[in-house]
Amino acid sequence: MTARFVGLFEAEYPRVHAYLARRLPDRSAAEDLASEVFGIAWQRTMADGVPSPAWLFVTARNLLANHRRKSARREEIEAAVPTGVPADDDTADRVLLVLESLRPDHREVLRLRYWDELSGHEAAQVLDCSEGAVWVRLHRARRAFSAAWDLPVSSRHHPHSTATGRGGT
Amino acid sequence: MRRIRGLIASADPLRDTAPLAPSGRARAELAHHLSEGATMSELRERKGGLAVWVTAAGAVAAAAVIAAVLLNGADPAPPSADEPYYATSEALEGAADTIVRGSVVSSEPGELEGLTVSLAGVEVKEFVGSEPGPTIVVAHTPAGSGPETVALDPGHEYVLLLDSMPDGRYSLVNTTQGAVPVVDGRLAEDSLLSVAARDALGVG
Repeated sequence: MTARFVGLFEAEYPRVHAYLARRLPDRSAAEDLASEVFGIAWQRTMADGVPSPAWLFVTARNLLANHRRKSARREEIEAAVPTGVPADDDTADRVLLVLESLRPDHREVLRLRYWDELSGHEAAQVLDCSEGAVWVRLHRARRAFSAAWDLPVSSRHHPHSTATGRGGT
Repeated sequence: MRRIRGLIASADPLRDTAPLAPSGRARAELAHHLSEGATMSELRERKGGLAVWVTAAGAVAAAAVIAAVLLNGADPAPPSADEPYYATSEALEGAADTIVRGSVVSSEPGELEGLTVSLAGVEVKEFVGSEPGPTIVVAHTPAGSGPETVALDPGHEYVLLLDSMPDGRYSLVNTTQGAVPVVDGRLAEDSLLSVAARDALGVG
């Protein structure tokens, strides 16, 4: 069991760490939370066996939410762009702007799929919905992204604007 | 269809960053957890007598060895491709919506979210998981087009671990573990596919 857990750690730590790093401005905080995820995972391993990768992401999501609640720098943490995007990259900047204009559930499913490369099963666990709902939400999110991408810049600065699509999942 | 995946991926804050491998601190913390866990196990088992204590002591020793490996970073690292890698049968099979054994009957160039891909027509013989149609289309990056590619050659048989897409086509869960050639009814390459899945697919 210990060897299986180490295998899980080696395989999934980079993904979990990256998931957290994309959502936190502070890389050391992301590393702290990643370590905490695997500390909790080891406790679970001793009690119930080695958890799945999807379980790791759900735990990371929960720790991230707690971290945000506790943080005195909430506004900074909730900034859409953590670190690492070159300021002179027009396309990346525009993509981030469009992402920010989307509904939070659409934005998150796009990030989970195209940044974190979670499988449908893993994304469903993190989003607390069925796998079918993930695909529907992804489809609608892609449509909303596409619509927002075509809008004039002046129309895109308002988060959650109605122009980005209202379809729920 | 607009290249939405490519566009969004281009804004990934970590796109130019190497995979975030465990740091020395992360390895040290994990080694500490493992050692602690083994010690607790030893204390619990000692109540049961000498024989189980010996077993528990073995677990402590094993954890110590693994801790040393972790600290030294001499790990069985997965391939360093920029795509998921699954370390266990459970994780690998859990990532797939369906696992099929089938023959590639056609291959043609196509487009997926603005990217040039190969579209392989696959005649399904057996499957595990969600039921696919008798013939499915698998979109994949063709061999020779980059580091994360796979060859699905017409006339050859494979076990394919597949992720379903909203448009009804499929993609491989990854390029290193998602396609395994079948030769003479046997998997021709190493795979983490479980015995149960192999049996169900008739390649056990």
